[in-house]
Order: sequence, then C-alpha cells, then structure tokens
Amino acid sequence: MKFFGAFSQYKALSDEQKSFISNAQKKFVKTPDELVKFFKPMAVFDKTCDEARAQLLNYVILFGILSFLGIFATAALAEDYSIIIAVELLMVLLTFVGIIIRWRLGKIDIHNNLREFVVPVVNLIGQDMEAGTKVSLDLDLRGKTLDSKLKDTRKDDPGWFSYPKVTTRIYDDPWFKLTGQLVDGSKLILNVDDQVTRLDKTYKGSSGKIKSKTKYKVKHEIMAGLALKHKKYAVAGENELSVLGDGLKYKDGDNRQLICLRDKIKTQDVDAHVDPQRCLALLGKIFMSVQPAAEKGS
Amino acid sequence: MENCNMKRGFFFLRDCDHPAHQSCCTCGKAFCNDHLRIKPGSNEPVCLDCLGKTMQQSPQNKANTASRDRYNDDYYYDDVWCYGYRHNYYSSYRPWYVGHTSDLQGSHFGENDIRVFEPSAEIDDMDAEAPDPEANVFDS
Ligand SMILES: [Zn+2]
Ligand SMILES: [Zn+2]
Repeated sequence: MKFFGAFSQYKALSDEQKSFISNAQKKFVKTPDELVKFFKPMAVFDKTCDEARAQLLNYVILFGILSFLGIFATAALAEDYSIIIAVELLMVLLTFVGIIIRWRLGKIDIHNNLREFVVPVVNLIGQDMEAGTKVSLDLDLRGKTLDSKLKDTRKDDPGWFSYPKVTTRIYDDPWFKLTGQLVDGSKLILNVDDQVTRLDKTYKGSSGKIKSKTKYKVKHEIMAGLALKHKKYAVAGENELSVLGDGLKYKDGDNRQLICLRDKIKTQDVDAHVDPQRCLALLGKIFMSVQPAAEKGS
Repeated sequence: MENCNMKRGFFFLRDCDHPAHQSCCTCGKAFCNDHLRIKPGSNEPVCLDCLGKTMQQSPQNKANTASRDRYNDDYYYDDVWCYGYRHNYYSSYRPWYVGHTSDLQGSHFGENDIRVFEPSAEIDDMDAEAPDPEANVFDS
C-alpha cells in the first residue's frame, strides 16, 4: 500500500518544507543548489502521493462495488446472515477508510509543476551559474482558480427557462518567476503565467433534461528573457532577430540588449504541468541567435 | 594527477578544475567525484555524461510513471538529468565553450559541437552591477 510510504515521506520533511506544502506560495532567494535540495524530498513525496491516491481510488472503486454486490448477497443468502453482514460492513468500512485517506493525501498534495517543472528548470539553470550565486524565485502553487485570481466573470443568461446558460470565469495565475545571473554575466528572467478559463454551462439535453457541465481551458504562457551585456555579445542585427519569430520582444539599452521570447501551450487540464523543455528551448533559441562581442569586426 | 575531463554546464560548457579520482566504466575517461555516480545495478563508477545518456534512453517516461522507481527519481531531480538532457538538446543547440578549443581533447565534444566564448573577455568585470535579483532586467 503506497499511502504508508507517502505518509512516512511526508513525516520526514522538515517544518519548512511542510509549511511550504501547506502555503504553496513563497519567495525564495537562494542558490539553485539549495533550492533543489529543498524541493527534492517534496518532489519525491509528491510523486508517491499521486501514486498512492491513484491506487486508493482503485481500492475505493473495488470495495464500493463489492459492498454494493454485498447488499444483494445479503438478501439472497439469508441463512448465513451474520457472516455476510460482517463482510458487507467491512467492505463499506474499507470504502470509507479509502475515501478518507485519499482525501487526507489530497490535502497535502502539491501541484505537479513543482516536481516536473520547477525542480528540473532550477537544477538546469544552476549548471550555468557561478557557485554560490543566488536566484530569486517566486512560486505560487496554491491553485489556479482561487477567487483572488479571478479576473473576469461573464454571464450569458437568456432568461428564465431558456438555455443554454453559460458562466465564463477567467483566472490569471502567474505562478513561476525566476531571475538570476548566468556565468557570462547575462541576466535571466523566466516567467510562467497561466490563464484559466472556466466555463459552466447549463443546457437542455436531447431528452429535455437539464444538464450542466464544467469545462476548463488553460493557456500556459512561458516567457524567457536574457539581458545580454554589450561587452560580451554583439548587438543582434535584424536578420538574427527575425529568425526568432513572433514571440520576440527586443530592447536595446546602454549596457545590455534584452531579448525575450514567448511560447504558449494550450490544454484543458488544470492539473497539467508545463514541460520544462519548452522553456529551455526558448533560452537556447536566444543564445543561438547572438554572437560574442569579440568576434565583431575581427 | 590528471584533471577531471568533464565539461560542465549547459548553455556554457566549462572545464571542471577538480582533480580526477576515478575512470568512468563506460567511456574510460577520468573524472572527479562530483561528476561520477555509481552505475545502477553494478558497483562501478560512471560519468554523468554516460549515465545521463543511458537514463535518457531508458523508458522512464510519463506513460509509465508508476514504474519510475526511486532511482529514476534521483535521476530526474539530480544533475544527471541535465547531463542526459543536454545530449538531446545539443542536436539543435551549439553550446558556448568558455575556453580554448585545444582543451576540448579528452572530452565528449569536438570543435564543431561548440561555439567558443573567449575566456579572456571574462576576466575584466564581474561586474559593477552586483547580482541583484530584484533588479528589473528590462531597464538595466
Ligand atoms: Zn563516461
Ligand atoms: Zn569534475
């Protein structure tokens, strides 16, 4: 049973880690190394927790079906009453215990973005930083559809007994922001901002019955920016910049040129994590488009 | 004692200046302890490049997360992942190499795999702007 492992991994976490799991929001100024060390046990726990919840769901379904069948068995096999009733009660009990444990685990579950996105990205950025250099990391994994993140609500109501009625809620969740300085002196900025649209639709089914459903549309917007020093990199020409395509934002300053790229990913799953590779690909694209300053004029 | 043969970094490859301790059982080159791991299933040292490469190929992916065992967690949340990932990544990206091409000998990289980032230009300024994470990069 995986939930034993999940609870014991949770127990082994430090108070700081536990409080991060319950608050799910924090601003860190730490080295990538420190951050990875801090997050890793939570990442491992979160994975076990997800597996345990999936496993428990199977058990709950199984025991639920068995207790349902048990009702008929009780009726059919009236002679062996006491045993059947005992088994039936046990099945019902196990179903409820499963539901409760699963709910408890859900309370300490953290969004998969932590283990699938944050840890690999921080780890990888750390490979290109001077040892001991800190990054600033702003994380908000509290949830994408909190009231405080609600930006707009629209109600389409054609009136009494008229359908469909649609309520559209738009949430904005900027949940990841990382800034730091790489070994070449470039300043790095990485943001992920999720826009969640929640559609609640009440409509008349073909049978005339009133039905309602909720649908989500999620747009992950990844922004990667590098502020490159003029001392290190030649100012990018129009040709080089044109290769970078639509998502480009460019600004040339006194000491640095800033190149930002954006990428958008659409999904319908609020729990889906962002693929770290999409974010790292943007940085690679920027670095591939520039030349070292030394080469200029040589 | 020979120096570690690892080129560390992701976008920027640099020489590792630690002394080598042991040789990788796969590529035979010598590395420092930071850049060696114990090969799973055997007791031999393996370098991050070789281990990363094999881990990338092994079917540890999403479809079968349940079978991603403890060792794979260590892989995904550890430096090894970066080394494995960079192998694929470099098919479309040529990393900067902070050093001289003559120093590439003994590494996994050839002259055509990298772009040289003159180390001489590195020394001048580490710099007037202290690394201030709060600073708005858009304005500096
Ligand atoms: Zn090796
Ligand atoms: Zn080394």
